[in-house]
Amino acid sequence: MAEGVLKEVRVFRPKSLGGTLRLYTRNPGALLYAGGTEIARKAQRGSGRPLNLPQKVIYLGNVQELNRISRGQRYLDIGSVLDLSRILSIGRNVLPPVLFETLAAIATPAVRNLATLGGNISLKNCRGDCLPALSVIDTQLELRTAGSTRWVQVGEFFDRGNLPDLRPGEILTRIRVPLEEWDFAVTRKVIGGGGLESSLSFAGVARFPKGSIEALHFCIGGLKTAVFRMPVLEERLKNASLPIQAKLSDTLFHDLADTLADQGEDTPAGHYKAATSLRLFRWFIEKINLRSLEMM
Amino acid sequence: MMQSFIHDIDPKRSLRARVFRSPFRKGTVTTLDRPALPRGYFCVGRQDIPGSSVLSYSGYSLPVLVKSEVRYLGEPLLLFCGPDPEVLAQICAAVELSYEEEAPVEYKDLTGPYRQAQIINLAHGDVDLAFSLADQIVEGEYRTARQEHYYPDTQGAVANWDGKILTIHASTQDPFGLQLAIARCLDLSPKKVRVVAVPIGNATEGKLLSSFLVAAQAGLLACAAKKTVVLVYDREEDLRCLPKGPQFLIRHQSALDQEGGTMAVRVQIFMDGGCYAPKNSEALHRAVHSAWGAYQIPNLEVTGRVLATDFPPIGPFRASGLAQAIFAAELHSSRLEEIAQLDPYNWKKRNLVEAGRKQPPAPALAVLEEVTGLADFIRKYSAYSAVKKRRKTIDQGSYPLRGIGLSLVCQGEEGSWADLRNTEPVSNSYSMKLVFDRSRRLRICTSLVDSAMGIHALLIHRAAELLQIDPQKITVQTVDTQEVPDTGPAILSRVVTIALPLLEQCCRVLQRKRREGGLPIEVRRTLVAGRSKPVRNGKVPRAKGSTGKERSEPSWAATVIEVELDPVTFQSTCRGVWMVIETGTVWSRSTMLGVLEGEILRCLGSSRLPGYTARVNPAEPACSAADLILPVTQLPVFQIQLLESRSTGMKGFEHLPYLGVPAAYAAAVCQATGLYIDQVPITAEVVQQCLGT
Amino acid sequence: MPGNVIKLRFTVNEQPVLLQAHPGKRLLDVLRYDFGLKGTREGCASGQCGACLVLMNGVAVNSCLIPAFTLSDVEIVTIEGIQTLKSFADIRKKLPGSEVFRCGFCSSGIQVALAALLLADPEPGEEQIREALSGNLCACGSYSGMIRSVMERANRSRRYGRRRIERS
Repeated sequence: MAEGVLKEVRVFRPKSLGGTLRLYTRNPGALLYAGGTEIARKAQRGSGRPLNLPQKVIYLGNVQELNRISRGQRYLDIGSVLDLSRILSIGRNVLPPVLFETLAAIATPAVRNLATLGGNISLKNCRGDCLPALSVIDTQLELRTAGSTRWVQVGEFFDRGNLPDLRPGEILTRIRVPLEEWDFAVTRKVIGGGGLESSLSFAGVARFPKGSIEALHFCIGGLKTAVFRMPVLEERLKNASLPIQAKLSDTLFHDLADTLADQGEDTPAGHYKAATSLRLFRWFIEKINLRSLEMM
Repeated sequence: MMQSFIHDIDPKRSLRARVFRSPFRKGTVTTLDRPALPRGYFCVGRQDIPGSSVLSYSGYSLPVLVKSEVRYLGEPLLLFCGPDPEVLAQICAAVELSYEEEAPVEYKDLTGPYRQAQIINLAHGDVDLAFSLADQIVEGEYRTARQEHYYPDTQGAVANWDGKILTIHASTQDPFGLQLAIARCLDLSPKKVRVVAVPIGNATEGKLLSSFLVAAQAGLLACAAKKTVVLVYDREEDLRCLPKGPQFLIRHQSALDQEGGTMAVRVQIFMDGGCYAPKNSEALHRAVHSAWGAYQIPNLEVTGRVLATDFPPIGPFRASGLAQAIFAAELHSSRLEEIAQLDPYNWKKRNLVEAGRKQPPAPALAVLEEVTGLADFIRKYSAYSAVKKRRKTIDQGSYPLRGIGLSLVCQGEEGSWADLRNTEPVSNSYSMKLVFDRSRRLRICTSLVDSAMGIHALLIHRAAELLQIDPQKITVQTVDTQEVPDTGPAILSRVVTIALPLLEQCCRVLQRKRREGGLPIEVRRTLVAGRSKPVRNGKVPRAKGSTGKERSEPSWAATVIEVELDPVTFQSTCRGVWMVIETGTVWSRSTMLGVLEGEILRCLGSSRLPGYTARVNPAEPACSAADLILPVTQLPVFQIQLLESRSTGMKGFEHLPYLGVPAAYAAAVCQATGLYIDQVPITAEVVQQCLGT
Repeated sequence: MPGNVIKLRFTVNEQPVLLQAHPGKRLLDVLRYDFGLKGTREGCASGQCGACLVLMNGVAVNSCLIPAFTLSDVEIVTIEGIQTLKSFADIRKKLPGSEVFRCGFCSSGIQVALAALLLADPEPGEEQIREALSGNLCACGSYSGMIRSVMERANRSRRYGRRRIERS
């Protein structure tokens, strides 16, 4: 629970993106507040007492450009402040299945009515949630300041400390989700023994049009690295014929196990995460093999 | 109409209260200087307590405030009250505190050389001889975690001192017990303490000692300020700073003959007494006397110890002691079943038979037969055992891991009520009053608080049945110690054995007076509860000195739980719960089934969820609601059957899920995984750890 | 009182209100202490238990997680509104009766969650009901009764009870 003496809080409520960016440039220490579910959870000060908020807050809930969703032929652009329920209401036929399933498993229905995709991406506690699904489908993030725009891949959004690597005055504005088709997509969320803080999630997609793997991505969230990918391993599976041979998969498991050994804390929760991540990957490969046999 | 809980009482012009707590776990306070207080703000410290600064209940004790010696993180040091909570926060931030911290003593587990606060020994037969003749000796060590109450309404009290009477609106299961405790603390006559008890959520006996603490704190402030004071604990404060049910470590050693029959059992029970370890713990007493469950053992030796540790304090918890002992006994018996090459059903049948008899007790056999039939237990057990034998490893398969577990338990009576309040002189007479008014409405006057156990519904139902009155015309009076007699604490099993006989007596007299004519009619009856002995081997000895109804026979329950574990994540889901209970007269099937389902779900939660550990490190987040309570998405298939036997009258049953569910669950997980997992809660991480070792 | 105060206009139970409060004041506290609507309760203060649920613009939200500064022009309906407003008359008929709740602490939150579901889907199936209640924790474990009650009252003809919950 947060403590501290009640402060004066100044809340800005811009209505446009331009206004927001200018405001943020002038007030770089301000808290950007969208759904606020994680912020409010940590800012509780006790019954009958206001939340522990910083002195300046920029409320993004009224910013039109951040609350939109637009669909093109190849991409879906989702405003960073759109709540998860509204994103889900687009439907599982429009949203990539791996993203739909992931978002539907986050928190509870009432929290999803408030929580935003931008918030879920940006906050430390949410590592186990949507990042793997976004990463495997090559989602890009639009980051804007008052004077610049850039796009980054999900995996590039975090610094070495696993915090969002944002430049001064920069805000996450849009999440661009490619609408590519995959032959196979899975996602799983595991709530560990330590509750939300020890949750793990896995996403994997694969394309294998003619009995061999054209592309395969997998990602694990909730480990030491915010977005854990192994491009080297993914590359080795490229062009592998299906079903994946036991000799190849055993080598891959071995290499993955070596890498995962550094990804968990030396605690029961850490060991569990590392071991479960390996099992999740094994399960993914088995599922691909099964699926490929069905498609023959 | 919605219930009003303690948080809904918000008198105008009342003062808010705040507890200033120790930021360290163990040590000595060297400076504790209060800041200058603004007008209208008050402070109470340990030296301001006029009477006893230590509260006691059922052998447990807890200081209201401490001055120098701190034994747990968050121990109360000072109390403040005033109109504005924000100003209170500033005052607390301005307290000058300095201290010398000590490292808490912690060993690897409860078998470490902790100081022993209490020892109980029990023995019969010749255990040494039996062990010397044994063909095999089987050992096991079983652990249960601290138990968190998680009542939905956190602790709170509203106190007002008008110069003559201290009125406390309290969230408590024992209003008269609270009255006595506050009177002693504030050095007042009990007649000057009026307790109005509000409805409470499912408290699992967490609103006994802890409720006294909060009420005492509110009362002290009200007397200092001479105004109404509202003290309500936040969820985190409640979770971190209040007593929990104790953790246990129980060692079993069984001597077996050549056929795998049990010749002798040695049991060592280690109970974590926390930093204020009780010297006369009812929980340990129950654990020792139920150490081998309901089974017949010719040679038995049990040693129980309460250890003084540096863990946070412990307090009453539903079925505490009994649940842990039964868990260990049942799980250990599952090992013995394997060695004897018997399925659990047949092993239990064989071991229930007393020497000189041919059959187990009829109720025990009845519930066992019924539940195994309902759950198709024997077929599933055999099938899952066969799969387990063929399986090489659990973490490389694709198919879910399944298992099924069976437990057999009984709930007897839990001792005299006099023990609970630690009062002198011993006062163990309890009363109830009925008022039948001119409009032919019945009012039941009792100190039993309404809670999730359906106590008021039970009283209304029984009164309606006996007096042939429409239940809509019966109410239970607001529990106010100035208006109602003391019927004891609101614990369901005690209600059944004391309050119901009282109600029945009152109804008989009232019925007679009705025939004589003339309204209103007021009837009051008193029962003296004798000192009881605990249940042993399924038998309840007759109590001496009781002027009321004879004590009832124990209730029996057999529980089957089927689980499925995901081989990738080791997360478990409960496929089904079957429970058959023999519990005397069924007074309201729907209410009893509702209570049982709820308690089973709660026990499933405490068997599986990670929230049940002592969080002593301030950096660790307090556990959350989702770590303690199962959501609706994890609701298993329930099948609960009540076997009624009217000849034995009504019996308590609310402990049965606490006794039967954890062991059945653990046995099912052990079969599913092929691992010997000897603890609860069993989380996925625990399975992983056991796999690793 | 320390801290600043902002003014906000919104509606509560179809009544326009003007609130002056600290920007960080929780909607839960606004409802309970500024408007005396005690039906909305504080359970966990972390958005997990659902005791504090209210409808905001027609959807269920955790009022313990909503600061006052986000309330401008919103429409809030609390359990009191659901129980009394004409606009909720049809929904009221389908909500579980008080007999299914044991201690009753979670009942407000449960009924708000179900009201939100019924607004979106007047004839929900058992799976939808479970999903809608997945953010409500009942310490008394009365889920079965709640689901059964809603299914019966919504007059579903599906045979859910025998498969899921059996009584003797």
